[in-house]
Amino acid sequence: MIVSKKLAIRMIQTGLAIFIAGPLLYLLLYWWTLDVPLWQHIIENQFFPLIRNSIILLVGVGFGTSVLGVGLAWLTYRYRFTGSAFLTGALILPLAIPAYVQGFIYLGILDVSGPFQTYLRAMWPDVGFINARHPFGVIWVMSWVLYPYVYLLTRQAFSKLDRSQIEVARLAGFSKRRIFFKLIFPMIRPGWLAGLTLVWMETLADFGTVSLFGFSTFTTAIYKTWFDFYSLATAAQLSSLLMLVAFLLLWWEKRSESHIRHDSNSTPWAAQRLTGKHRFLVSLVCWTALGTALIVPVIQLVYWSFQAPAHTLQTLIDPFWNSVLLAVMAAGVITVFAYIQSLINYRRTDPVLDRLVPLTKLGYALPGTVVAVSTLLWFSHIETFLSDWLHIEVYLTGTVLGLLLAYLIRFFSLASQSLVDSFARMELSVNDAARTLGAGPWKRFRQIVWPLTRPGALAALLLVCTEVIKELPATLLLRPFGWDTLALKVYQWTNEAMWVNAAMPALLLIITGTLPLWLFRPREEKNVKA
Amino acid sequence: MLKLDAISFAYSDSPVLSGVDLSLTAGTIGALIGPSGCGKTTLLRIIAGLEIPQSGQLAIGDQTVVGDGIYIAAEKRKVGMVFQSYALFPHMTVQANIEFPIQRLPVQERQTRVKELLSLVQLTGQEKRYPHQLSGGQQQRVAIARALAQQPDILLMDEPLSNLDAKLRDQLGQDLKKLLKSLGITTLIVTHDQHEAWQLADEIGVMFDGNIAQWGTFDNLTQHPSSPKIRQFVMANSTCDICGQIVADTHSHAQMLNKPTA
Repeated sequence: MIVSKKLAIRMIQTGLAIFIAGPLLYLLLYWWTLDVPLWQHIIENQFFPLIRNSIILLVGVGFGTSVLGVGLAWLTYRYRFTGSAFLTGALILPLAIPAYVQGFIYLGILDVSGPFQTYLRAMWPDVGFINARHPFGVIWVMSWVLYPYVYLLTRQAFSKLDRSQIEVARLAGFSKRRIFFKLIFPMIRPGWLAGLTLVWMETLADFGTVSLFGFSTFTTAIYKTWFDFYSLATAAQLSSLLMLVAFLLLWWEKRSESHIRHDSNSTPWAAQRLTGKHRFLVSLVCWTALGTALIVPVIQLVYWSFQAPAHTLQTLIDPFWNSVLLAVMAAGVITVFAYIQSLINYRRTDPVLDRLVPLTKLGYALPGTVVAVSTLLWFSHIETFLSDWLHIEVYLTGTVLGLLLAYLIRFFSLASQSLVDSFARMELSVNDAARTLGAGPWKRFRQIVWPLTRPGALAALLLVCTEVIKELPATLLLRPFGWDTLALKVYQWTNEAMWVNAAMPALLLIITGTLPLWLFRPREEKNVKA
Repeated sequence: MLKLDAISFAYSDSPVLSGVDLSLTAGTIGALIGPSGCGKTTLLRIIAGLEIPQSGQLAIGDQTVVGDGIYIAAEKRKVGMVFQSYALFPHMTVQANIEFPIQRLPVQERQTRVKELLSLVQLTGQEKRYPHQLSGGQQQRVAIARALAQQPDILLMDEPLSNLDAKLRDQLGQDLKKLLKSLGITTLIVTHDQHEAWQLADEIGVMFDGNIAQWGTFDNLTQHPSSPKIRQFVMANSTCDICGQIVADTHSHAQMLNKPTA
């Protein structure tokens, strides 16, 4: 009976892993047909620029988000100034802005026909045209959207610093600068690296921004080989190359996360209340950052929304409901799956399970385009198999089911992470205690496990909801015919440079994304030294 | 009463317990001492039903719960267990925690039982509080009240005093012994602290490497240790090592250890 339970759990976990990672791993088998002329074309004209572009993007965005993220985390952790309590939480809100939205706002402002250059030309007629679609623009835009990952995780690391360790260094005569680089930085490095890994995954996965700026990367190349060259096989091959990079990133993340260990009895480090010139400077820096990342873009969107043609709102009703419907369905399904996985895994150390769980995380490191390609191939083969062998005609591709599977692959890890955390916070002996008190499995679940993990489940639900509403590439490739969502509307209108029309759906996206972020925002620590 | 017969247990390939025998008569307080990793907590978990031994027999009261093809799950055993961390349900009040095992009783009866238990552990009036609002000592008493609520045949306690303030430990240890004796409940305590065992238990077993090396009263263990290893362990790191060495020789001095000096 005991053995069969263990087996059953392994089977459920294996089933989940196959269900979620199967379509992705299936791509790796896609090297049997090689479209030689197309590959020749890709290698001669695209391959090296693609790699160069990707590296430029990773280095640039990595640098930008690190400076912003670590810098802002340090200022809000270490100092108290005008609005610091609000800023501590608000500085993660730019995460609610999809990168492609931030992209089109900055293009709208800085483009040739935008207010900035119009003003420049009016003042200095011979200034000429400035090309806003510069690689630096992509890096700029993505850094302002993605820095909150670094900010959030380094801030967590900062808040676990131990005052006495710093005092030891001070007593040993270390200078302030030396304390920061030799002592503090090594201690927050795991948090910074974890944030950076997330930033890089998102950077590699981005499709909307890079296509807006005409900056080709792997994601746009995959999209092109599919839609311009109609070669699904080559798209799959390109995808599998990108998957290798994702594997590498995941492996790296796993390595860095194992180092995060903090002493729970540490004495917190009191923050400093600033006055005078310092207070003004630090406030200025932090408010400017929030202004650039959030306030200016939102004001611009509101302004455009008022200019939008009157019928814009009407055309958004269907897409809005489609977005909500998709988000709710996907979040429900994904949270249930992730909950089942956490429930069966949380108190077990089974080497087989340990190897299967990382597989279910793969999708999060991959762009929506790759996930879409794999889901499509997977479903079309199931369709062929069913009709050829069992003579059953089913249509899976181009249905909501296909989209849901793609979202499951892409966002399972997100839901799973928030649930794993809430299960980990539950003391194991609580469950044992309930057993010795005569509670069967159902009573234990209903009265102990569920009430204690409900916040985690709610967090997972909200996080997936906002991610699905923002998701662009997979939705674009897999949507049922004639379906539009808010994100697709933004994409279509921005593609035609109709910023004004795109503003309203973009604003709706940001509002829905802000809500859960504000609920889970970091809070300012209570220790303050005058 | 409690009876263990040749209980063996192993995690996949590393043996933890190899043929443990133990018996406690009704109403006695027994204690298992031993270095960490000797298998004493595992033994406690086996008695509670939280781990399943590979072989051996186990009887609680007059019922066999493990052995002869019988296996009774933890939920069905009448065993009360007080965990080292107390394992109180953080989202439930003191009242709800104590009521947890007796939810099927009629409301009236349930409330009387909770009142009785709270006055027994001297926590009357704390029903509406949550675990995090209580001190360590109070939390422990809630855990004891909760374990007693289902009127178990036997009470198991894992390191009952180790989470408490050193100053309080002595007083609470005495209170605990008085409480257990007044209830007359068969109790098995597991601890790594010899002093705790001396203070609480009638009978003491010393465990090494998955086996009970010697079982007996305090006098028995100190005067006739069956091996040098036991003598060393019984004496070492009790209240103080030097006292231990001296006390080992004479019975009268041994009694002094029971009431430790400052």
